[in-house]
Amino acid sequence: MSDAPHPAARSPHEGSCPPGRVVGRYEIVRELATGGMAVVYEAKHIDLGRRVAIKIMRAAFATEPSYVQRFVLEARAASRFSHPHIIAVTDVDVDGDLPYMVMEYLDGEDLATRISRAGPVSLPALADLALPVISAVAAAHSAGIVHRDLKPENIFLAVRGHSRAHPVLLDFGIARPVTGHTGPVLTRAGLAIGTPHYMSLEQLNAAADVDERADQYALGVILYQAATGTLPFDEDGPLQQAIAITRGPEPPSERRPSLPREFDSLVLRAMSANRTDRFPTVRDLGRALWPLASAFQREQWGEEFGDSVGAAAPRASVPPPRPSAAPEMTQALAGEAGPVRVEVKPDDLRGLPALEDCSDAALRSLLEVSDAYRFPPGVTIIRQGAHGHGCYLLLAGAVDVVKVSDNRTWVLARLPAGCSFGQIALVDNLPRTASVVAATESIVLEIGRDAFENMLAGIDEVGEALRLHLAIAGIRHLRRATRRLATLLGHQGTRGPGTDSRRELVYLQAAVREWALPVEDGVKGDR
Amino acid sequence: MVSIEIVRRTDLFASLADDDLHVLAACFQVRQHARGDFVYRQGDPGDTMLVIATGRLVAFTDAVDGTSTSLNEMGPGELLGEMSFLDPAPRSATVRAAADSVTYELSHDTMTVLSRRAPKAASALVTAGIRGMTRRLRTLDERIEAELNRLSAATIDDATEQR
Repeated sequence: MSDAPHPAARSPHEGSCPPGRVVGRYEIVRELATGGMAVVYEAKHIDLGRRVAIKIMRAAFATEPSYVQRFVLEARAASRFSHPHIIAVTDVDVDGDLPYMVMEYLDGEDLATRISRAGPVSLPALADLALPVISAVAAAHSAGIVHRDLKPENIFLAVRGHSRAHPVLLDFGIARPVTGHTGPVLTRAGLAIGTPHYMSLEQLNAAADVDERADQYALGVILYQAATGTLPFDEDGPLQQAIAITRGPEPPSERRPSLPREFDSLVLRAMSANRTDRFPTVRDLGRALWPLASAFQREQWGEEFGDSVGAAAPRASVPPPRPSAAPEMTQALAGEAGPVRVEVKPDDLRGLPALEDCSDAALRSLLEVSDAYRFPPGVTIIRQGAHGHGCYLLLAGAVDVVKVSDNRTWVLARLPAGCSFGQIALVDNLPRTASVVAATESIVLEIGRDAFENMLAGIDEVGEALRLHLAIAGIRHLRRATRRLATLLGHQGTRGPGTDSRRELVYLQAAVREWALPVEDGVKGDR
Repeated sequence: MVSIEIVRRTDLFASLADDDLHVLAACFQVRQHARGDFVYRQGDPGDTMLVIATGRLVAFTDAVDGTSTSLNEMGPGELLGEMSFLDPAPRSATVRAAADSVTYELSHDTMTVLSRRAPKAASALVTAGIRGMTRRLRTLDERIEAELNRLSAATIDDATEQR
């Protein structure tokens, strides 16, 4: 490639490319980030106009063959994956003497920026962000690659379509094959590379056999830092760092008491000084983290990280025509866009009769421990067979409670806005006996069991309002269920038992457990 | 006259501070029932909860055919109607005095006063409603389960059906 003479050649910043400079087929637009060995720019393809990110090696390093090799190796390592959460490298080449690689352009911010801008990331949002990253790291490990430089700066939260935080793993700059590789060893013996705060003991000791478990340690530190807003150890040098690792960090919940014990134990295990004490694989770390994610992400990652029951549960499929007289479900389940996390304001919650009298401050505290999602019609919110983790308040729209039985799909009830569902999970950890599917576009507030229990533990306005709501909703549900059972058994008495009554009982049981009995018009006490 | 000591001996209110207990006691109405009296009948409008102070009460459900099923017998410190108190509805059972009895009755209307002046007492009443509701939901679930088992045993054809 020709390196056309350009004013950039006289730039006082060695290795930096001003806007307008052409590298390969790409025209530099602006500088995005500076690393030790390379600088990343926004650029556009001169013929196609396509926006890309281009990483160009600094001239000072480009004269050193081992660095060039390492750079090319990174590009190869990264391009080996086609993973939705690993940066896609589309090209690698040399312009003049400068090696560069071309990557997809991402809008958004990295996790480090997010933490310094917005503070700690609470659960389940943190688990939601971390599961895709863990999946990406696990995919790299399966391909025989250890990243070795995992840190918040290398986790990019991209804005993609409706998703406000699509995590993408960046920078395989010091990644290298795990074992049996024949490529060059690109680091000088005894020189630790990586970012000390995220480096495991074996990496700090520059052990020759750094393996996948070093990445797991770094993931542990990242989880710790994201959850608490602080690094587990803030020691100055590698030696002090190593001593601190050996002593072990204080549990994250010491710094942020709202964090659950499960989170403490998985982070501390991943951060074990001795790598044999860590999880066997990062995927096992993902399995431990999975229960702490939101319902939607648990469903998304159920197959990779879920418990066996959840993973084995039937996926919601396109329901056959419904035997009930209720209107058809608006759309088929398959192929629809998933839910999108949405911002909800205290006023939106006042639409719920239970919460209309609560103060702004109280409602904001509820919003801090819950997540709101917009579900397109046809998308499953609760999946039959999966274990329940929380309850849901329907802020807007309508949902159908759907039971799959005998290979048929039955709609047990349509619940309007203002209803709650899934409450059984607050009482028992039973598998869901029915699915809940958005019937129209619906906005749903998810409250995890822990958050709910914490809320109930203290006498606070919202906790009390929700308890009263739960009590009254449950009491009305119980009354409907009792009447329904009496009617059913009465019919059975006149018709005699048969498949129909059996099936109706199965549905009634699901409806009882999921609090999903439709309101009967004109019955007193069912306001 | 409502005895604070009797209210305090009720599980639900045992942890209340004296101030809250006094507010609560002031909201109660004392009722006397001679043996055999109906405390209330199934289908009556219900918006009150009762704490049994002394004596014994027994609950029945009446079937359409006129037969009655005895549900349970209750003594001092036990509660009735905690669900109707939170959400008024016709009584689901008939309750009679099995011995001369005294009850303290709390009307739905007092909830607003209690939430403001004795929030812990109001909270305890909601707890009572939730406990009663979850207990009865489980009982109902068990009844359905038992009914299903009975049907399975009765109809062999259905034995292979997915539950």
